[in-house]
Amino acid sequence: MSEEHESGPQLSRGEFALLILGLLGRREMYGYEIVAELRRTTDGAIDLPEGTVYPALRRLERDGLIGGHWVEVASTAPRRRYYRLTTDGERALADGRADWLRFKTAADSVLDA
Amino acid sequence: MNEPEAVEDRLLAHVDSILDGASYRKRDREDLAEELYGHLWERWQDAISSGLDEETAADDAIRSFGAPDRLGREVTLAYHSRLYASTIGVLVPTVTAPKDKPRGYWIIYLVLFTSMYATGMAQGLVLMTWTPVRAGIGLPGAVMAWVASSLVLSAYTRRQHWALDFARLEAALLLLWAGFLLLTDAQIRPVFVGSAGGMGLAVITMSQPLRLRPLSSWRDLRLRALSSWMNERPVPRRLLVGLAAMLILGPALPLAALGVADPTQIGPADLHVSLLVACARNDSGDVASVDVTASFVFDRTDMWPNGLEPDLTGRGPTDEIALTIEGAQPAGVPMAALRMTRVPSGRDATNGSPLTIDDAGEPDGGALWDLPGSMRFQAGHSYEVTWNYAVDTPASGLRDLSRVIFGYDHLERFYLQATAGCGQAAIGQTVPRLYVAGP
Repeated sequence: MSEEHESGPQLSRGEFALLILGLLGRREMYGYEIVAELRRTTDGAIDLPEGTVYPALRRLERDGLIGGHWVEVASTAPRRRYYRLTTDGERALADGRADWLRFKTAADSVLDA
Repeated sequence: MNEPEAVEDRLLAHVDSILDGASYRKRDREDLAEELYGHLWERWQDAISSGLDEETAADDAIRSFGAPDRLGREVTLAYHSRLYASTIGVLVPTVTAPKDKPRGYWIIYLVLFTSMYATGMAQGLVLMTWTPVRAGIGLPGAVMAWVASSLVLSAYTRRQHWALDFARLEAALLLLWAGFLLLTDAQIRPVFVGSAGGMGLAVITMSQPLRLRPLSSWRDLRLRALSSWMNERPVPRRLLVGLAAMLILGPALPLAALGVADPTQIGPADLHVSLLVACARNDSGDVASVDVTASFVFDRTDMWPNGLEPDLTGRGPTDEIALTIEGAQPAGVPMAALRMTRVPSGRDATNGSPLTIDDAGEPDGGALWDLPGSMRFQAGHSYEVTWNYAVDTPASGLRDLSRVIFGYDHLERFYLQATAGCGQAAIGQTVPRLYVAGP
């Protein structure tokens, strides 16, 4: 039986989705790459069970915020499914980023006081 | 050292265990599986590149990926609402996952199906004949019992052996219930019929090899009770509690319904019965003929007093009326014989329409008649039945009648009885039983 692998801050599904949109806002990525990039960007502060990225990607794709397509990598390796932001996804990312900054400013004003 | 294919099989099995525990669009399975496997494979390759051996690298990849039950729940949530994901979304994969069937499955399948069918039919028949409130209480129980049986059936045919223990428990409860009902109410034949299936189920399931293991923890109970022992995936506690409640309420609700006073049904206070006895005498002052008139009025009527059965089949129990006349003669005078001069007649005195009266024999010394139209009696209408008797024995010396007793039996639920002598009127009172011994 595998053990649950999780460390760092606990993210809500909405926050996790926003981080994924943020990463995909930089460039197309596939699931494994998103997890690795998230870990690298946050210096391992956000280190979720890796498999949780795929349900989040499915949800974003279902909501029309990202689109996925398969890419052949090598004959000996499985294909990769790359994701990129849709127009709605770009708008959601902009809105989410603005909301987050407002929240961060408000939270800082309390915590720094 | 394992061959690479064997390790890759482990990765594939991990993907399967995640997706088997999730609820999603079936056409997405291939894509989901390929994507999840691709991740595990790449993680495995990276771990090997960092110096781990293949087995350890596979362990690392699987551990990093996350627990199947959590990931399965997350996948379900990506496709469904939170409520669905925490209830049906867990239940459906639980009963549909492994497809290989256990040895002898077809016997259990047949018996479970027969049992469910018989139980469903029996409960359906019972509900058909129940009053609205009772049926309203009993119906959810019937549905729950049927759903529980369906889950057991589905799970067992997929080699989820918890179903066997579940079926044994269900059969035991069914038998207890049936036994209780048979002891307390011999009229409930449909339940008895349904229980026959349960008995067969009990016999067959008891003959299967026991697979019980000692419980070691709460998690073990969750595994044991509702999940497959093959994929070792526990079921959320809320669902466990829900199914336990379903198992208990299934038989308990119909049982409880039997004891509920249904406000849609009338009681003795809603029926008013009166009796009028008129005696004609001859020149000697002896009783020569007797006219008896019984009237009854309902303040309100029952709503589906016998369920839907009478409406659908045109049959069903009816109200009954009874009449007993007791004579009183001086000592030494031969017994006078009262002869009915014509069959009793009845009518709706409110609108004048005739009332059908069927002779039902003479049990307990009193004459008895059925009222086949009683199911359509209307509130506020006054219904009348009259009897005419002549004293057959000439110069009988019948000086008086000691008692004329009229009884009204409403669907064997309550009885009203009025007693009067010659030239008297009387109002009906509730009595424990309708038929009194005749002279």
